[in-house]
Amino acid sequence: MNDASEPLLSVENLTVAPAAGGAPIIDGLSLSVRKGEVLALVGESGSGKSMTALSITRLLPRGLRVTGGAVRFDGQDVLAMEGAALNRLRGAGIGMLFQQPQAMLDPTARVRAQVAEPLTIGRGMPRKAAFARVIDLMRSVRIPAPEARAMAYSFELSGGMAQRVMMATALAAEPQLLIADEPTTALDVTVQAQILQLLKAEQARRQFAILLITHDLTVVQAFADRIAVMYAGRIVEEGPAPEIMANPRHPYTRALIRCSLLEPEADGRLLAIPGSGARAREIARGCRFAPRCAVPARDAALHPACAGQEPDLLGCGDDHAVRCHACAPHMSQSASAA
Amino acid sequence: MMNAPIHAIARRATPEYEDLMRNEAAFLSVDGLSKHYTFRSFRGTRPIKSLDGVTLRVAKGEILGIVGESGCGKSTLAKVITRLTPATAGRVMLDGRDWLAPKGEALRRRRPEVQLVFQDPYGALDPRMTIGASMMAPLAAHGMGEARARRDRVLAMLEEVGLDAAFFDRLPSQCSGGQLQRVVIGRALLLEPRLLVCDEPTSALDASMRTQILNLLMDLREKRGLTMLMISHDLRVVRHMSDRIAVMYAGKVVEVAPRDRLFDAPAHPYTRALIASALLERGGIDLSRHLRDGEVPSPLDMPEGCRFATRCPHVQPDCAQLEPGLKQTEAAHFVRCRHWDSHAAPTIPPHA
Repeated sequence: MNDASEPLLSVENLTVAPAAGGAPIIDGLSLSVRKGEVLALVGESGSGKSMTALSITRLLPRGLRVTGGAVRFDGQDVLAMEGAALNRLRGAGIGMLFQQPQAMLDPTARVRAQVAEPLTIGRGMPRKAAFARVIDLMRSVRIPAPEARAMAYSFELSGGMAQRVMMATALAAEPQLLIADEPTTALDVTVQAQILQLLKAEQARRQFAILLITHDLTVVQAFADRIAVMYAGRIVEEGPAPEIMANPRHPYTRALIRCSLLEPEADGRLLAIPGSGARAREIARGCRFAPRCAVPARDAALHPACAGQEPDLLGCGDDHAVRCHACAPHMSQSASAA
Repeated sequence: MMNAPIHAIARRATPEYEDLMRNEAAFLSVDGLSKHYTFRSFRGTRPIKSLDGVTLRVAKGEILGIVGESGCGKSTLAKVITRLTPATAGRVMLDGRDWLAPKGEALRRRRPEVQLVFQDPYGALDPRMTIGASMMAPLAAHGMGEARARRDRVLAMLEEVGLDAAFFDRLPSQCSGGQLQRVVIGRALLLEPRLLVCDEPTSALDASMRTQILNLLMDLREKRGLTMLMISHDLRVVRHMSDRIAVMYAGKVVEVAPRDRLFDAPAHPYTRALIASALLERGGIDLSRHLRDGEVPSPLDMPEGCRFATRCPHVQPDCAQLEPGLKQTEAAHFVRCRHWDSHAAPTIPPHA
């Protein structure tokens, strides 16, 4: 359909704001997901990462709307889609996994009916054939005793099993892109690792792309090809995962990695980012991270720039971009000192 | 000696934790603590053994980390030790006094001795009370100081937990989660507790807030010599905070050891699975050598043998028959696994 250079999903300058007016929740966000790659969108609560996912699938809650930008999936304009096209997009185009698998399953329907839905309703497959396929799908996500579990109701499943069922449902439609919004946050750590391992194996086998939304950098490092870091509705750094984890350029990314590892600094204390990002979106001028950032506090020469003008997201190496005055080429001296 | 029964000799060879601790009093001594809830259905009632014979010792000024996943009984342990729910069996001694015995008014008077820091600071504070009023309420309830003095104590505590005086008149909705958790910690410390129980104190917080709160707890510990139970599902939090760590699984302690020893030489297969899961960034994503695809046993239907057998990659035929005891591997290191010495493998050091 499209040539190899065009990404599977591209979001350009997406802006989402309250319909009643007010500061945008997502502010000029651009990202792209290539075929078969895993892009992790990382940010803390309130950074806008979940709303980005909901914009892409046109599931924004009432009261929020897209006020600018474009979303293209597999060459089609998603923001212009309606009715049947939108239904085809959700499922066959883009599958979704959410944080609360139990809440996403219908407690009054047996597991097999739900896993079969993309097959029976989506593709008109006969029920009997679909149910046989369901058992295969459940086996492929390593659900023990799939024949018995297929007849169970969702409330009879543990959280880990429910997320496997959700995964089987999403995979039944054979999506090209899977959006996984904190898919393991509600699960126990050992189960989380098993689910991620499984997701990675399925992704490698079926070659679909994943947009992984998470606050947990541990998950990201083990899983993603590329990372995009969000802060206050904007992407502040983007690049290949090993590069970002080994050589983070933005002070926020750097601090977030240290915070996530919970390893003490030289003085025995944990690195802390002072203050809170809760109101960072209301900052009208300058960098939104500046009030919490160690760089302008330490380097007086940078202070006017950080406080006065918001930096652009600029390239800083192979496939790596960062939104930071200290990392801009003419200021690279300061960046390495930070 | 000659007449000692065989099992007594065997026991001496690899002592069990409960036996070694029996005559070993500590600042906090928990012995055989159990909490059974009742599950009612049309088939009758059955016990849910949420906490099943837990024995622990905590020295004065020590932080004992309790780590485990949902349903392992760690929060039940917090509730029993803070006297929010009665124990089914067992004993808790606090500085030589029976902590489970006092009832009614006697209990109310002693409640300041053990305080709890909750997981969700939004839920722990009344949304319609100002921060100041929320913090003064327990002081008033325990008749500590005059109204004027209480206000001063709260203001001093706000400063100690890193908040300025302006927070006194704010409502919870005007504060961030990290700020509210500071308030909750401050409110608990106002009562000068002898034991602070922290149940997932940072799980509801973002990564950048979490380190602020953990630093605060460590500062307060140093300043006040706090004795703490640090309960978390996050091994990294427990690793940073604790002197010793107890790992719980399905209502039991399965391993207890000094912090570095636990990470250098984890003896229980479940502990190793936890470490591998928590440190994904180093170990890659392959957990199959630590875990099988089985499920955690239902608390309604606990197996007779080892409770981890359904998920253990090293399971032997005898594991399903008899539950192993919590046996000594080294001075302060105990493990509930019959075959620990046949499968122990080196893993990741605590601080690389």
